[in-house]
Amino acid sequence: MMHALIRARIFIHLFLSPVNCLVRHASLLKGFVGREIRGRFAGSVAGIGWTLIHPLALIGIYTFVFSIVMRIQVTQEETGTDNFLIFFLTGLLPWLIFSDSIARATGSLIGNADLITKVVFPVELLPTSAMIAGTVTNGIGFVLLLGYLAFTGYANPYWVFLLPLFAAHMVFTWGVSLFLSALCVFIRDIQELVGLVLMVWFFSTPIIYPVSFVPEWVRDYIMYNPMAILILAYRNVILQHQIYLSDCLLFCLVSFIFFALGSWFFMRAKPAFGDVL
Amino acid sequence: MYRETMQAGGEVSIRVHDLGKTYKLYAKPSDRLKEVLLRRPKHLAFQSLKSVSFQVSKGESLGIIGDNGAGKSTLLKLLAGTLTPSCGDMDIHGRVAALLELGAGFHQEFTGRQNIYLNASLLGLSEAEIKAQEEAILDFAELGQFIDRPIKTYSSGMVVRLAFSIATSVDPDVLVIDEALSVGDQYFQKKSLDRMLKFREYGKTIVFCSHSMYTVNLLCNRVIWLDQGIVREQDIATEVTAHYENYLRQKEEKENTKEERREDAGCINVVTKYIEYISLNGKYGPISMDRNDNLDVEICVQSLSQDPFTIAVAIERNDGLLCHGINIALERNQYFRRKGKMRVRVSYPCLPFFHGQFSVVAFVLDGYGLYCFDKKRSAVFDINPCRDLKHELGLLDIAHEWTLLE
Repeated sequence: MMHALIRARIFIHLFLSPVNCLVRHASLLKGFVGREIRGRFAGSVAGIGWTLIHPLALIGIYTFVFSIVMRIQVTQEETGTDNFLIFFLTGLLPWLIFSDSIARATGSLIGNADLITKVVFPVELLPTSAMIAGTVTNGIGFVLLLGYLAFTGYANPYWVFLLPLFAAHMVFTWGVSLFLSALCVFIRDIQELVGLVLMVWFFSTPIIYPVSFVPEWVRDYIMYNPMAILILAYRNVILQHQIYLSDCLLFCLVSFIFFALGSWFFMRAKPAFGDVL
Repeated sequence: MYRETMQAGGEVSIRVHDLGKTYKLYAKPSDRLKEVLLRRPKHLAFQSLKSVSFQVSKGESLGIIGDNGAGKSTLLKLLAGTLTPSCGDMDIHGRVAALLELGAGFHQEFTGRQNIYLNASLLGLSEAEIKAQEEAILDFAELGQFIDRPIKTYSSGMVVRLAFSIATSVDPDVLVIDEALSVGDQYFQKKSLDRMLKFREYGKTIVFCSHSMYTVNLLCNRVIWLDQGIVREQDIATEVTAHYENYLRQKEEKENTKEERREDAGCINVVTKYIEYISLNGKYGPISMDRNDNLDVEICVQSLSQDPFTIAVAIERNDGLLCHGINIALERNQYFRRKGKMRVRVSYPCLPFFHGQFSVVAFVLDGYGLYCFDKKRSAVFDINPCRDLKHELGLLDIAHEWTLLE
């Protein structure tokens, strides 16, 4: 009994230490996030503008291909809007928050090898700050979109549910970030692989197409994808003002499991970083 | 440097017991994965550090010396906490600041000031603390206008100045420094050395690793000499550095022996005269003595012909430095023409060397000093380092007197 209790405490400690370090090292985290956001574009002419140019280009291309060339039509009944751009953006921006964070976090440890081997500091700040940087740069777009939708009359008390949804979204992203960044230290191939997996993941999530376009037999499988649950939940809340509580609770559960595993793996692997890097 | 432990009484600052570090070397990165998945060892173990034990008291400074690859950096990284030991344990009391590499964590595109904030918070300072320290950091780094320009425009000396200035502003209890002083100009080296000496005055503990024996002697009370991962010697600084310098010279000498052999070929092939033995103070083996002791060298020469010859004697340090050479023919205008055995003695009433390992080389030369009949090296004699003379450097104890004029 005692033994089990101690083991449980150790597990909780491993699980919580990334959270703990956020609080204790807030100023360092701020520095890292600043370095990640501004440092990436420092010295380039467009500077911080690149954080805008990238998603804008992406939006332009996808809208052209899917809305103008392929003429995908979304219906008011299914999605709450018949404007493809609004439909697309409500899915794309949450997705970008996730994918950009993951892509940045995966290489965050190997990219800072000299720091990890030369300076003692809470290493979990690196993937965490990469994730925050990815969230902030893409979150601005998301907030702008919400502002625009509110202005055009979409705002609704149901939007309150965006907050817990976003929190779960973050927890999920954080867990995956911690796991992939640590794994990437031991298997460098992960960094290459992540780009590919994210692309496959993007197209297998109903972001650019409504679920009704998916053939019956595939539709059941789609809901095994946590990101699909999340994107649909976002759209439901933002555009249709409804929430499927069971789906949302399921996503919360999944994201906490992912976070617990990611955090546990990271803290277990941490002492070996110095040897491998 | 975050490791803070309870001040467990006493004056011990660092206690290291039986510390070891083994690296796993993998032929391919995928082997590491296979080992984890298949649970079958796929690595070569490389022991970088083997059962190192020592203790450092508060206010003491410990030097770490040794050849490249002896495990110095591994030891420092273990103390700093960037590596985890494979075995053994260590206790460090108080906040540790490590200067393993100056400028680790600088962002090239950021200005010096931005980097101060990032770097100092990396070292564990809060924003308020950094603000309070900023002026002092800027003062010490002496960057002037450059502080608001990107780091990439800095000279390497400027980067080092800024990094050292930030790192030492952390005010740690234990400072771990790896070769930090070997960069920067003379003026800054002196300045940073002064700062470290001040650290010591304040009762902070310093662990310092360097290849400069001079700096080690200046800064450290005690020195550990690491050799292939084990502690070869551990004693007061002057002793260990003297022994280490000795060892270095010997190593260099070994490198040079090839050339020497080629020189030896200059000796006449038909042996007509040779040196039977050389003794030092009546002994044939290595001896050790103190500075200003008496040294008697006895040389026994066997001559098989009546050609005139002379005897020359040289004292060489173990790195081959010729310290002193004499030739009896030149000094006394005297040649030997005898057949048979003869013995000569050279007496040195007091050798003025500080410390080091030396040997005597005797030559049997022809009348003009052109041909070398034979050449023989004696066993070595060590001159023990003298504890009273730790402020003097070099080879010779030269009498001197300071007078303050004005």
